[in-house]
Amino acid sequence: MPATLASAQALALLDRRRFFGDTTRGLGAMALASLLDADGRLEAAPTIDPARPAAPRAGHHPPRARNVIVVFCAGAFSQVDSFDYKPELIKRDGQPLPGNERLVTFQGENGNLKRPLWPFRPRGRCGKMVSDMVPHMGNQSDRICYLHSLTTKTNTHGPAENVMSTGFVPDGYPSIGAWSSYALGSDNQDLPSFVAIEDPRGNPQAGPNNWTCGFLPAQFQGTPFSTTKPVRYLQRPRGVTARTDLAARRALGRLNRRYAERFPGDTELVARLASYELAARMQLSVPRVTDLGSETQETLALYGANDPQNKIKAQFARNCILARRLVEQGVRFVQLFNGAYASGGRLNWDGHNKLKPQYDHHSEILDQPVAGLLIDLARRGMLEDTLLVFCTEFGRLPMFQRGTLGRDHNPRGFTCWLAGAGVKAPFSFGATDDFSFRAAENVLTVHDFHATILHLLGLDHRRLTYYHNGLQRRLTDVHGHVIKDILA
Amino acid sequence: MTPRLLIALLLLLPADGRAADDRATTPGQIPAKQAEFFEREVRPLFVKHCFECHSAKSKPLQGGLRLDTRDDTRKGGESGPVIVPGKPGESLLIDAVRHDGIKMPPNRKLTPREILILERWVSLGAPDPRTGGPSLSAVAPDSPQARAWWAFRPFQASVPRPTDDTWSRNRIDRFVLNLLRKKRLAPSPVADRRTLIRRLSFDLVGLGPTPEEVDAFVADTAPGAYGRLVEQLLASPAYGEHWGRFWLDKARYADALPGFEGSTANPWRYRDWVIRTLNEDAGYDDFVSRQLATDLIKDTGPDDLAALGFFGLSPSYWKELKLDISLVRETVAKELEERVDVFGRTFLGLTLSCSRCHDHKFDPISNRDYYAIGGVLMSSRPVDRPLAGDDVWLPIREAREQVRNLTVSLAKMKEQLPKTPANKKRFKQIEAKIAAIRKSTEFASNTVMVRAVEEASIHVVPDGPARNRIEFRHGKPRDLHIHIRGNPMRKGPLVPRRFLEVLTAGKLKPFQQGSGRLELARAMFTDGHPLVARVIVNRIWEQHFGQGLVRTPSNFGTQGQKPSHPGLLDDLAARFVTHHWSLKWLHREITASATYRQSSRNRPDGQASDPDNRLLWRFTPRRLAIEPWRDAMLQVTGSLDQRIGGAAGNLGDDNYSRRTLYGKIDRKTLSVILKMHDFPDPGAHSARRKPTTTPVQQLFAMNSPFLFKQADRLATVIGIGNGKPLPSHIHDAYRILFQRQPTDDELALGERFLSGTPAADKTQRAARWSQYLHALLASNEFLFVD
Repeated sequence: MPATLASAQALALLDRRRFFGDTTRGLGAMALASLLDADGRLEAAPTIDPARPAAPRAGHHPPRARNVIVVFCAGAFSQVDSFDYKPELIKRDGQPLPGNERLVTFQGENGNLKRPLWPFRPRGRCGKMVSDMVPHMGNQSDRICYLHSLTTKTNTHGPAENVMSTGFVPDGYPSIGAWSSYALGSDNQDLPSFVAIEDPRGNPQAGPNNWTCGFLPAQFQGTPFSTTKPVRYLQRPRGVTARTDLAARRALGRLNRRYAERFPGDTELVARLASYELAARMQLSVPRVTDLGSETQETLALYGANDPQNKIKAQFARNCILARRLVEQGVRFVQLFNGAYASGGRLNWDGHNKLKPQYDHHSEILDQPVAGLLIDLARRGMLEDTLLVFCTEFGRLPMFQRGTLGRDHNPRGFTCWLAGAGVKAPFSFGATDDFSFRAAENVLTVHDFHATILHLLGLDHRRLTYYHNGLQRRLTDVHGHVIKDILA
Repeated sequence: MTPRLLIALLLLLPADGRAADDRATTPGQIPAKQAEFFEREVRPLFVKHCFECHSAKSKPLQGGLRLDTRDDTRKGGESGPVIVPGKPGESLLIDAVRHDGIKMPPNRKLTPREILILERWVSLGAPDPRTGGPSLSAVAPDSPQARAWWAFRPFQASVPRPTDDTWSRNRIDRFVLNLLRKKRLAPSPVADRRTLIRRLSFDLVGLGPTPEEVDAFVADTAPGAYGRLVEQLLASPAYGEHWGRFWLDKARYADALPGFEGSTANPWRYRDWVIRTLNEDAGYDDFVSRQLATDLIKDTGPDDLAALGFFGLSPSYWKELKLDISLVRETVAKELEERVDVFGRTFLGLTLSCSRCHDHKFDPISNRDYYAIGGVLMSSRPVDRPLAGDDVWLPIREAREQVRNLTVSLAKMKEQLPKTPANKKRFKQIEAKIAAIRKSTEFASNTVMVRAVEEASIHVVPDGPARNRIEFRHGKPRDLHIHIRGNPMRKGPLVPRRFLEVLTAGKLKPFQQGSGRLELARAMFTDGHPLVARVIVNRIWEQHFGQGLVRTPSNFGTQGQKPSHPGLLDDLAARFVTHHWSLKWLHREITASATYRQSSRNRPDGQASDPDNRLLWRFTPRRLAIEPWRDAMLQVTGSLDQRIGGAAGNLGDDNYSRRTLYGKIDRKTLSVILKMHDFPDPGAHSARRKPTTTPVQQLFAMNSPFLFKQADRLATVIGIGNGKPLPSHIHDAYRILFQRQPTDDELALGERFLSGTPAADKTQRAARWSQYLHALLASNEFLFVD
């Protein structure tokens, strides 16, 4: 759609509002009424203008991060083999885990301790010990704040993904991205405020639960698309030329405006006109943002996006570039998935049987693109106000499962990391015991993790609420503490 | 605080504290007014601001002070007494809330009104009607104050008689007119007939009227034409489909259970039962009782078992039996919480699940009440049942139990035994045994299976040192211990299964028959009937008017909103009960009113004084939900498949032409079309749909193949290219879609759009027409009912 038309229609809309006279007041009144209606009290819930649900809104305190990108490794990424260096584990390779000789976990009985399958070495100027499984990420350790003591509430993938994305075990709760766009709106009115970039191989086990709006209004759900999978219904079907398409949309606009004139003061009709405008703009803005044609060869190479040997890696790398482009455009929250559930975990980090070859394959796809994203954000100055989050639903055990060459689930201690806006780096916080078996020092919950991300966005997790089913609901339920020690 | 509020408050407080002394505050001797003052104003303040740190449940108790019983409040804490009755100036409590010296609550000062209430209370001599042990509830469930809450008390209504009333058609209108006049507003004129038939049609059957139906109604000038139309719509089987979908939102219906449940039942049989029973107008009491307990009702028989899908299809979660027993019990407790929640909010409009960890903070529902209802549900196991009597079922149940037990013990053996050849052989044998039972007639019976509940209690018990087991005890109902602070590992007192205390007339009556489901249903429709009737009448009203008389349809407690027209709600609910809880009677009564027939035109005076239309000075125009919108599109293009019931289909298939309610509802992955159009989460009770406006909806309207297909079909229905002149086609389109003629302006717009292509080019002309019709289909007018 030519820009002139968009602005002409926007102008018409503004005129319309003036025409309605009290519409502005009406909008405010309606927003208030609907809030009161839902809430009964107004305390910290944001006020949503129905005509501009994605308008930028102020948080509770000045933010350190304007945008967030979450890299989510589905399937449970092994901290033992990557970031959580344990000399004692290496020393006791092959011995039973002291005190837990016959531990039965998710898939059954466990064998003896098994040292990391890749050697660790010091990385960056800070000398952080990171394994050869993820050398690119490891080499960026000077920019990273590692959290080694995460714990979660379940040892099952789907529910644990729910916990990491929504704070709750059951389905049906809003994703942290939905909470963020509900609270803060977006700095871009031509794109959705919350985007979920799916892995080229498919969805994680909890699927859309990871980006659902739950009980929050539908405007705040994540819109899933990627460089390989476009927005649903974004394109007109084949056979419709742009010219006639435009004419039809104009006709529709006229019909709708005429109808709205019959109901002066009806805010919903105004909202619908605005929403049609956004939909029309997205038809232009989404293809533009997903088209990587303007990226230089050097950038593509930085991410590994032109790797001819590894198509999946190239696709995932392109998704990483897309994440950066979205944030550049002011999109508030981006989830970037690595790993798919299909085929029972072999397409992700669920290394039960033969962890070594499986992880060799997956780390090749993950490592350089994510490191490239971190470098690219830093050199463009974007890390100043963008928070890059690396997470997974839980970790893996320091022993092999009995009779296999893989590790079982470990919800008792695992590693995630943060980089960018407002967090210390290089920095490591929290620790597991000598074997990476159990979080032992500064033990963290996922609620703490969420509270901290919201804090960096300028939000108090205790005050960001939505009244639902008789309760003021929060992302962090009734738990969570901001991890103050890691704030810069 | 505004001066006006202050005055109102002073008026509300009981007069003068001078006479107050200690004697007057002995329990039982408090004047009723003072007791009411305490219950209404003081106790809620304590609950809200003080009990977190100053009650039996505070960990730790701050300053040794407890405010949750009368005696403790009097005694004071480590700093001595906090109240000097009659002397607020000398009372530590008042100093503290004024933040004079010490500051209480520490983080947040009370509002001036709240401080004033406490001062007033102390100056009255701190009258405290509380007796016995601590209650954290704002209002004790057994107190007269609790029972006097508007939603719980018996119906109270006297029908107003407005003078010079030529407008009212029935009793509804007299209530509405009375209130409108008090606010100096007049009702709106009656809407025109084409508007009325569109409105009635979408409201009663969820589909639009055909042009022929519109013509017939407009032409029918004989008296009673309107009533005949209503009857005709109520008699249509589409009525049950439309209102069935409304009910399924409350019942959080889904078409699929998680695989680990191993169910072979057809969930849609519950959906079809709802449709059928609504069409039969069974009476709401009957409709509900059968969903709770038809297996315990003598005259319904096994054919009716699909009704039990209400609880049978409850959401369930995977229970990892190797995890610590506390985690397994917590998962079961979470499932129970959801069941108590759907029960409380659907039937009683109460947030019972808030009482899982403590007494309800705002409503007179105790922690005990939660476990009293919980016991009923924990004695009712969701299970597949055949539509047949026990003779057929019991062998099936036995076979399925065997498979379940064998599967569990096989998994256990495989985990614990080394894989020696001998053991492998044992595993094989068990597997063979399982397979044999699965093939047996008992297991794989051809009888239709439905998802229901049975009389069996649910228990999580240890099974060896590192495992747990879920045990179902047939015919052995269980009472629950309170879970202290909601923790299923911390046992409190045992609570007998019974109805809510605040709704029970006279003494508490523990249930005696099995799980107590039938007694629960009976209690709802006897002792609890005013609340139950108010809740459903308000829901039906909401479906007709877009908003309820109470705007929080699933919360009639103190945190909900009060009714805009309390007398009207009570009068309508009372008459609904008299009319045997007939929903169709209720639709007739509502649609017959002049209130319902008003025009939806906006008026400056109404917009200025009541923009939300709480007073009903007009009919509020509203947007169609996804189901009627999609159905209406299929209908106008002549492609709607009107068969009723049966297995669910795929809404993602653009050729799926059945009504939208037959699209498969999967809790795990909700259909994209439903999700983007505000369909509620099917994993929990939905109080009401929350319409939102998002660009993905518009992208769907602009670009989905479904819309393109409908536009092409509509072109065929209208007969584009059959030689008729262009304006005649435009007229037909408007008649079919909007039940009206196009205006000159609209005609001109259409002609301009369509005449851009040379008439000779047939393909181009057809494409142009499709686009035009697409725009009409996607337009707001098609989506709204006014």
